[in-house]
Amino acid sequence: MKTRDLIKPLQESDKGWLAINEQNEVVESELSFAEICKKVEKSRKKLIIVPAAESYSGVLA
Amino acid sequence: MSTFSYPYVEPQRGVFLPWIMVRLGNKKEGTRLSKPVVALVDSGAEVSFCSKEIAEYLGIQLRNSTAQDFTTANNGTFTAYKVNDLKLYVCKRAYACEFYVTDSLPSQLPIILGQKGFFDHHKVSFNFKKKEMTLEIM
Repeated sequence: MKTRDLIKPLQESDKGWLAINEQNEVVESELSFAEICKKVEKSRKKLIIVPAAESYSGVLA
Repeated sequence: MSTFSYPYVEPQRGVFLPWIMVRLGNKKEGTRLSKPVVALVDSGAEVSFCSKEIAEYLGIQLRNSTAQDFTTANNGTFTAYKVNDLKLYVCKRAYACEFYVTDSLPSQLPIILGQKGFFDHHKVSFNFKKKEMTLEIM
């Protein structure tokens, strides 16, 4: 199965939250979760909300 | 029995994570997220966790919640609050899911789906070679 490649959109910011569309493009970014939800709540696009971070490597859950 | 396959997500070159997109809702308030949020499927987590920021957005009250301390892999500790008002929307269905809410999660991991709350509802298969995760509803 092909992985979902979010490398490029997640390079756009290193803090806050991003709304990403099916083409893996960032359509909104905000610092708080409440703000990003407010921005996208009326959107009819198929979006996902992903936290922005400096690195996604080496994170031990 | 329903089975769902999800690709791994590559958030950074060479980093492949078993992330799935889920929605959360507040059973009491009847609110739910309008868009899915990324969640890590983590067989090593004893319970499921949700960031305080997301829980607050959904109007989850922590006042009467039971606090519990957890130990991390590097021997650190943090406190999380058990809530039973969250509903998890995943694999085209929704169910009441016990979560522990905390402001101590790494920002990259706002939702962690662990043994209690997630693995006890699904048969989970990881295929790292194929970069694929399969969830079967139990």
